[in-house]
Amino acid sequence: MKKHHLLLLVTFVSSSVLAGPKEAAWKLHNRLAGVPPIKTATADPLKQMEDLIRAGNPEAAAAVATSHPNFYNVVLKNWVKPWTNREQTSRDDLNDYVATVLGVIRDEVPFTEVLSGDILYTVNGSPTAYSFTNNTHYFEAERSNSNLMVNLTRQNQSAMVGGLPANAVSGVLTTRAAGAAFYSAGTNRRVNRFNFMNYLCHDYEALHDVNVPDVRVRRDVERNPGGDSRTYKNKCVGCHAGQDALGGAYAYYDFVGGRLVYTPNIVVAKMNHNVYYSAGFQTVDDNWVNMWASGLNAKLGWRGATSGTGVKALGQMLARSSAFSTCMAKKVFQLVCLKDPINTDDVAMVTDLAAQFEQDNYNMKKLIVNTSVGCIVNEDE
Amino acid sequence: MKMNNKIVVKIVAILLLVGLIGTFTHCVPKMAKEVGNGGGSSTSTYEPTDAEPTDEGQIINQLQVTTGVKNHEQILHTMAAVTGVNAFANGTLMGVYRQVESSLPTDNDIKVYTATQQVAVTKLAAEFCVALAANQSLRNNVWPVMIANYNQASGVAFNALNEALFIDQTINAFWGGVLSAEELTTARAELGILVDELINNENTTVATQRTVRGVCMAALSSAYVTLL
Repeated sequence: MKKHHLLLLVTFVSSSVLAGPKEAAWKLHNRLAGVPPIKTATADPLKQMEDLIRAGNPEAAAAVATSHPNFYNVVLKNWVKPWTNREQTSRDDLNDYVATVLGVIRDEVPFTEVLSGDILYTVNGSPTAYSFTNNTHYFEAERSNSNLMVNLTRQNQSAMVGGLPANAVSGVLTTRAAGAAFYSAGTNRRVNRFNFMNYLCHDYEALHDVNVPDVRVRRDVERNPGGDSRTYKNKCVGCHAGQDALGGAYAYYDFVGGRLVYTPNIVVAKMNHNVYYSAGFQTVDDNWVNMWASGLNAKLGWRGATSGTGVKALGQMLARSSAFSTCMAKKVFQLVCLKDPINTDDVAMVTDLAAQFEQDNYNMKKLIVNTSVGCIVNEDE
Repeated sequence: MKMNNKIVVKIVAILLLVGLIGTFTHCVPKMAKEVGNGGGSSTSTYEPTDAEPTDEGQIINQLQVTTGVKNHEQILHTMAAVTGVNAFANGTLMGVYRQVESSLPTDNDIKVYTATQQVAVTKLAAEFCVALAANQSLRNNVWPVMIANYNQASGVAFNALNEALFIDQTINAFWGGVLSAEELTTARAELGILVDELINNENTTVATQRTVRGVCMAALSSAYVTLL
């Protein structure tokens, strides 16, 4: 029988161990651009990258791959999309949140700005103009295969017609997509949870600490669920004491009429709905305090002020933490190394990458390049 | 031109089997996703632990996989890049992509790659190959040997010399010329067998053209194209 030969071929091909500069260059380009390096009449990226690796400059080789449009159009876009919806899936349309993160990476803006900057990226040449009330601008840009590497255009979020005032904008946290996904309905707790998951790599379960004072736990949390106050003290407090104390930051925001609305000095009604315990904390302004700054969750490495007012200050606090840098390094590691940092070497590598990320003034593109060199080029040597 | 149905069925069956074997021989533990996320995907809450794994699922899940599979968009763009076909300008091709998009991988986690996804990859590859073969300029670019031979009977188009050139050009175009010498030898031999089977002892132009498309489809839907 001849057929078994074909089976062997593809099995062999697919399980082959790549090694050497040429193979590393091939893998590097595939991982970073999502497509293999294609030789054209004027360029041979594989040869160029191979030569750079041989010359001891793998970072420049990786930069060749990151200069490919699909680094933004395909790889980064699908990496960021899960941050912008509740399902955490990449099966979603391009939106202002994703576009802004891509723009920040492309322009090498400090990545901390993602959480607090007066910044928004639109897509030049999109068939439809930007709107605060729908996502058509980005949907159409994606459908028309717009080259995001070229067409992303930086704007001031507060300068957009009908936009939020400058003191109310806070990077992607106040984009329309964030509004639709995280501020709609509910009690405005969702947005903070997703911020912790997306930017500190910690869900609340990992932050559970029942020793935190519960003075900021809101009135809609029962103090004796099921008739047993022990449940509240041993479970509910673990998350609510911390998250409700931070939740004030979102007190003036709501997603209504298809857009994120900011109502200065007026706490949105849903923040104080459902009074199950009248002596509980009532939100009266956008003041917040980080109760997790001490105790078990001091491990997140909080730096600077741990209390403030509004989303911008909160975003700045999140971005200053060491957990932010480590989380970003871990996410990039997962993106380009295709595994979780579990073993000792990988954990150490992520730690080093996070430190370098801070030294590089939070340059996300450099972090991606450094990580890909570390786990593709260096491991293949 | 229509491909012989029997041969098409044969190719598809082989590709399915190949996809399964090719995919699940990457130290890929079965059921890994059911017990947690061990790599490749984007879960953001992993906390390293010093605790020893207690059951088989945990042990399997801790196996490190350093190979990934391309997601739906990466597969589309990769096929477009290696064939030269402008997918976004080809309504029929994009129609097929939209049909199979949800069946293609969502992320790069190879541990959850399924036979259904390989079927979708094969279907998309078939569309790219039809578009590639139908476009003289692109076809000539990928297979210079077919400039003079695409409309020849298979006896001429795939004589020993032409067949060897055709196979090497296919490998170079789709697999990028990064195969080791050993892999290259094996690939040449196996694609040679596939050529013979697709020609099926016919000496016609029809056989030539279906062989071009068939080999294209096999190479384009292979792991070398879809793995990261």
